[in-house]
Amino acid sequence: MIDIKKKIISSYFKKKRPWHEYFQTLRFSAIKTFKKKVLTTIDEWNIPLLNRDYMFSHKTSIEWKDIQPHLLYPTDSSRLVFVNGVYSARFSQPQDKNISVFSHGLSPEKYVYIIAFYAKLSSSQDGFNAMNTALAQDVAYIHIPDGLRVEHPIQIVYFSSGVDSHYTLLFPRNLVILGKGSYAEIIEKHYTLGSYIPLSNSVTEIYTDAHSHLEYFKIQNDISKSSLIDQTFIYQKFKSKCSISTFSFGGKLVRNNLHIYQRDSKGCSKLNGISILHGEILVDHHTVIEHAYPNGKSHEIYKGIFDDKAKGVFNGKIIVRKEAKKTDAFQRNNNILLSRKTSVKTKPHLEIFADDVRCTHGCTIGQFNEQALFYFRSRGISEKEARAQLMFAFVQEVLEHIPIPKLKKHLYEIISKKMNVYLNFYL
Amino acid sequence: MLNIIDLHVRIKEKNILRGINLKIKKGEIHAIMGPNGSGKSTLSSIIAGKEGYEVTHGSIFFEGKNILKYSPEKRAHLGIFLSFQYPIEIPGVSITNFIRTAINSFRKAKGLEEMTATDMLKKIHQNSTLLGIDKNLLYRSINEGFSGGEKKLTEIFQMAMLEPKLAILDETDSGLDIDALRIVANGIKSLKNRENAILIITHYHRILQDIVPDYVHVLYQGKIVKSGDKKLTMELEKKGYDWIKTH
Ligand SMILES: Nc1ncnc2c1ncn2[C@@H]1O[C@H](COP(=O)(O)OP(=O)(O)OP(=O)(O)O)[C@@H](O)[C@H]1O
Ligand SMILES: [Mg+2]
Repeated sequence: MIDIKKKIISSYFKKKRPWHEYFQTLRFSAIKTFKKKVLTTIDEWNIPLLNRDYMFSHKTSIEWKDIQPHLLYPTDSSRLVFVNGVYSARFSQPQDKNISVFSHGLSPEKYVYIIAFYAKLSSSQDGFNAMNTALAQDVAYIHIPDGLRVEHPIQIVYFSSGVDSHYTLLFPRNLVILGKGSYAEIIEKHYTLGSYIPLSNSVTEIYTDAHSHLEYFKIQNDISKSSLIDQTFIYQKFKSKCSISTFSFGGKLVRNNLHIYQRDSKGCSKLNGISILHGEILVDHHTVIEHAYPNGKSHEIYKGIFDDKAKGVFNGKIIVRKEAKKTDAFQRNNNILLSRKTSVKTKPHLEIFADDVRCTHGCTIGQFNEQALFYFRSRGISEKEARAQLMFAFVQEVLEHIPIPKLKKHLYEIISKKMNVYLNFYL
Repeated sequence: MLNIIDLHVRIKEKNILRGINLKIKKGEIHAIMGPNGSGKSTLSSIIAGKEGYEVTHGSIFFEGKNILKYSPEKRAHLGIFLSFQYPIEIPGVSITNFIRTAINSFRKAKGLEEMTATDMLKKIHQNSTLLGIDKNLLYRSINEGFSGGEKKLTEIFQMAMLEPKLAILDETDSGLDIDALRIVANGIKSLKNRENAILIITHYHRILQDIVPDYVHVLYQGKIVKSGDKKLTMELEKKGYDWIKTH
């Protein structure tokens, strides 16, 4: 086997050291952790991941016309664009001084503030996390001040491009801090231009302070060669509301680790997921919601449609700690299998240590509803369209809550395209 | 219009229809009555094109074409409509969206442009008014949480929107209150003309007083054992099915 680990470690030592001492120490201990960990696989299917001769991202030229089709709001909203792991001032549009990028290469005054948050949530013992902490270069840093309501969605877009058949490692990193009573919508997307083979090892840390509200959307619709390991950690304060929606439509191997810590009472967490997959893709959702204070709420719905040889995992853990009285937790995972070669593993996991709580969960794996199909067809609707409509209907309960009309439309378009039908929703 | 000749149907080794002969001409209203489990719904499903049945013998002609091999959607496009005895719930699809898709599928099959949103809304308005349907109902998911009566009413609403040549109404009157029954019957009557036909399946002669059939058939154990005019319904009402069985 290629000693990719050695390669990664040596690349660390070639890197320029960060300006701030805190980060020097942080990264050094991260690379030490990484060194200790065995990192050949990450998923339950044991697909080897780090057995390739990965390279590190390099400079390639990307034009505005290449990236423009992948942006939702080309003009009026804030946007942070990264190309091959490096912040691109040319393509970005921060709009607001509170939305910025912070780079280990630079020496911004913001360091002082960031130290209190950066790498505090992400588990330092996880190998992939440690790898990211040691090697991430530019960080998307979004800080919404107390009371500010950001009107337009903020986009974070990671583009990568490379030469054919090169395996490349990328380390996207996001830090999002919502001040008291603030509101923001964030759309995160990773996209590969060209036809090479990237593996993004992404880490996101989110803090929502009291009474704040965050709507976060992850769009995973990458080309079929690229893989993504996405780890997101969320720390919620009093009465804050945090909704994370993950839309998985493409890629090769996609692993989503979502960890929510409710760290004050009356927090509200919403987790939504839609996976519509075909080909040989594997999408793995591992979610953990930790209720540690009273009167917390969580609501989780993941829906999956699997065709061809697509594989899916849903592993949803809900932990209700002893102090978390009157917790109200809901979890559901529904799957439709369209081919005999697909497989899905679904596993709810409840750990309840408190009394007087309400926790409901359920999961289903099924085939298409033939009776419903006949109902459509008896009304003159072709089988193909009927199937598409029924699939839309299946994921509708997740889509309908998206508060951004443009994003909703964009998702409808992606899904229509995937189902190879034209659907019009104007009534 | 519809001509069923010696139709035999089997489901899972069980003979359900055992030699059905039925001829319906345009402009006519036919009623089928018969005890539970005699095969009425099976017959309507077969005409509409439901899969999963084994036709062991016979044929179904619609306007001269043997439709047994046609897909359900093609049969719908030819003008066959089935109002289901138990309309299924479909969460996530509103009736308006559904009927719009259906109408445009019909138009596409005929090589026509999609109907404009204005025309569509006008047509929806006309037909929902005709049937006294609350607009809010039409924006809800198909049959989800509908009362039994609301389900039947929206089936007839769909019939009004699609203007079929042959409407098969499988127990549309079951579960309707007196007022709803009158509205549904009036609605159906107003949709009836000399060019179309209705096959109404029912257990009660009440609806047949409004929608007066030209022919009444009694289906028993997969066979039409008796046919007559509307007077037959009165006789059945009085004597029950035992009279047929012992005949
Ligand atoms: N999918 C199936 N599998 C097995 N048996 C079936 C199936 N569908 C129908 N049958 C049987 O066929 C027979 C006729 O059923 P059908 O629904 O046509 O009766 P019906 O005349 O419509 O009765 P009702 O008046 O109660 O609506 C019944 O005995 C029923 O159990
Ligand atoms: Mg029946």
